[in-house]
Amino acid sequence: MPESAASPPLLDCRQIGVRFGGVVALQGVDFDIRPGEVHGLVGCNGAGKSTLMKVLAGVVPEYTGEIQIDGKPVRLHSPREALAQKIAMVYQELSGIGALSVAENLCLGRQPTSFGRIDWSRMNREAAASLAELDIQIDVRRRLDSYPLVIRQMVEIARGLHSGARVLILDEPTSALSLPEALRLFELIGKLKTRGVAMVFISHFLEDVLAICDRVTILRDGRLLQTRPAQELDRATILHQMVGEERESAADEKTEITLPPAATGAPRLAMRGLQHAGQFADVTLDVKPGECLGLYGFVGAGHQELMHALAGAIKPDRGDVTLDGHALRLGDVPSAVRQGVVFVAADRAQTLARRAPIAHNVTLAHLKRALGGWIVWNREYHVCQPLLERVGCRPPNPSLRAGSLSGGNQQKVVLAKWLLGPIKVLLLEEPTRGMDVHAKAEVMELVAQQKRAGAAVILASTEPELILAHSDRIATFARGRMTRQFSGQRVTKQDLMHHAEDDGTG
Amino acid sequence: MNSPTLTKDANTSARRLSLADFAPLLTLAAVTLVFAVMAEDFISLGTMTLILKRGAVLAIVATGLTFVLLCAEIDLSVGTLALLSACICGVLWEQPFAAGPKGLGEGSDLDVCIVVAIPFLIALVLGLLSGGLTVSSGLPSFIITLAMMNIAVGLAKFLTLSQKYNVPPMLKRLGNSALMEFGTLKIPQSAALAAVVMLVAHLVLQHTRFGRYVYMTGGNRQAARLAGVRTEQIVVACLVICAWCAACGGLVNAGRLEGVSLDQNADLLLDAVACVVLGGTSLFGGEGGIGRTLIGVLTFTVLRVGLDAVNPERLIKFSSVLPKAWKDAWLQQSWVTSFDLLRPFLLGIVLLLALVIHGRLVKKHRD
Repeated sequence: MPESAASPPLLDCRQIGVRFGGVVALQGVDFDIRPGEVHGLVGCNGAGKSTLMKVLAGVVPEYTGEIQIDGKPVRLHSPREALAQKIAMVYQELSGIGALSVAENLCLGRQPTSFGRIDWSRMNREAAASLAELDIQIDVRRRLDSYPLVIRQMVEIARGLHSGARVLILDEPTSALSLPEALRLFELIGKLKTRGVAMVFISHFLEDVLAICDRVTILRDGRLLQTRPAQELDRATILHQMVGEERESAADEKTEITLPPAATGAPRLAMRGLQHAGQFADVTLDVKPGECLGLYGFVGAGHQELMHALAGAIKPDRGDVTLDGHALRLGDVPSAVRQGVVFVAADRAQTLARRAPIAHNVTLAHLKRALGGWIVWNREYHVCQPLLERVGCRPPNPSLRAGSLSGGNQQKVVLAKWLLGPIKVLLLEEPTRGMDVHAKAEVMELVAQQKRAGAAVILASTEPELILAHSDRIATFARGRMTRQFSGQRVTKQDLMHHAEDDGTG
Repeated sequence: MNSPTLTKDANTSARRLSLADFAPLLTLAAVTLVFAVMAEDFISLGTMTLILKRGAVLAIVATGLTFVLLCAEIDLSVGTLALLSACICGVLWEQPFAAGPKGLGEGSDLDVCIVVAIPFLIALVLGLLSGGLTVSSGLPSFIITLAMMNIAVGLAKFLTLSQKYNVPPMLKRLGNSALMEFGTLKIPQSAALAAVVMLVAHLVLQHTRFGRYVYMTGGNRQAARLAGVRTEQIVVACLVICAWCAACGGLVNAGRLEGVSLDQNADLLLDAVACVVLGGTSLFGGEGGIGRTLIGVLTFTVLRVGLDAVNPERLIKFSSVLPKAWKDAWLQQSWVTSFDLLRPFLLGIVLLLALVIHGRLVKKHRD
């Protein structure tokens, strides 16, 4: 859909398709960027934004379709080739090296040398000059990690430009920034526009996209919906298109639900004024027995960190938590576990010893309760085996290494671990990430069983469908703060996403 | 909670064993076989006695080190801690209250107890110190125990003023006398002690909660932490156990050598690490065990004893396959006449070979 008035595209992708195994991640997507343009790319999780950008960054070499740069067809096989074509990526999780100085980061791999040694004064001069061009006034000799996130991000961008990039891909650049920081970043983007740099702006924050982008491309389910100038779009339209309508049939893909009326009675777990610097602030929430509280927000919104705090893995700076009216010791995992506050972390590298037998992983948390003082393998086997059958782990053989299981089955092992003891509050962080539909359903059924048995469940996720399908009450988070609570009313996916990008200013 | 159902058909054996699991045992067999051919009269009760005697100290120290390696840490101070403990014991023994100067007096049972107990107390303190500093500073135990290594050797030097000291006769008996004799096979008391230490360690690691926590702390520290295991305490405990084993090994060694001097235990650290790793315990934690360490210690000691027993001059002289001209020429060569000096080199080569082969097998098995 090229506009005739505009200049010819710097980068032109035609009919890009990517398959991962049998799964279609992208299909027939056209995408182009012109010099001096900021092109927004939006879509839900799994819509294919990241995949498309990975193709451009050379990380996914197995793609179909054609990419042209300045009208010449190119083939991108590796990040190195993408860089050679002047395409630079600024990742969501920053890739700079915190322990090196700003100047070293800027010149990484191209340090100026004299007589074979690094010419420090020249390097610092060059770095300072290239930052000054962008009106960034900082001491380039200080370590990169001594600066706030926005500066690090700007240094990342400057690094891309310093290497001669003409196309910059910004992946969720504002998700972890406060509002003034985001504005500062926008200023920089505006400056780059005037210099003819083409930028792709990937974000969940539609306000940001509309504020800064010239054109917006909307993806859904790996397909291109449309590319239109930003001034012809508004948030509601974009949200509507991103979410789609015809998908409500699938049970786990709900886009709207009516929440049950709020449960009465004493809360099982109550947080008051919980705060942890840089992660979440001022969280006051409670959850009742037999209720599932869904926490929705984007990556970095603070709801996931909140789960770690409740589990005792991090000690919040301020605030208190009560369990059945009694204060819970914060920052102490063993006492939380003893009292039945149990946590399933998103990262399974943090919840399973992959090389140890499944049985050792299952009995780890409640060794004494399950096996007594003297551990005998035969007994351990016969305790774990029926438990694995019950959670539907396949194969239900406790002597296999935990790492030999598939992701879904690993998660069942993690849940089985907690079934050996009391569960009063079940904390779930992205419990179904990376699982197929069937495994997802099985895992969530196990959670529902616990809920029916009277456990309070807190489910933190970045997937609105998951939250909508399983929650009785929902709270949304944005930039470390709780923005809205829903209970006993109709909620749609749009509502959730709207409040997840709310920055608290209106 | 489900009551355990006792199904008979259930396959309760551990996961399928692979070649990698047997590699240490095969290495032991291969090494023994090679020396049976190369060294005269190697397969004999006399050799076995020698192996038991030389392996005992190593076995005790390696047992302690197994705990530390299982929870993915390392203790570089075992050698000098052993030395320090022996030195403290020797210096105390020559105090007036015990045996007096030159350690010639007898000393009461109580004195012996005190003189042996205090080194263990010091080891406890130093172990707690390295453990506490490791978990509180966030530095790797490699660095902390490296410092501890120097602290211990410095203390030992200062205490002894580089003099040789006597040790209680009880330790001498422990190091040298036989507990039981079967013809030429003499089972030394030290080997019996090592066996007890290893047995206890094995039971602790396989059958107690603490042992399981050690494995899981090494297997995935964050997972263990999130499951409510106090991993810091586990690490400290392992370093204390290791320090104790080192102290015990140092005392036994001093007894074997009938006194303590600063040149003892110089190779102990690296030998012990080699034993544990040779047995197949992972340096990255979570995998291995005392049974494996035992195989490692045996392999290493067989290597040591075997290399000492090999006499190339004899081998060449009485060889029936070599032509006479070669024999005469080889007997003049320096690698034959100064074979003694070549022994550490050969030891290193064999260790390297064994470890590389083990490593490859394990990697292949995992892929």
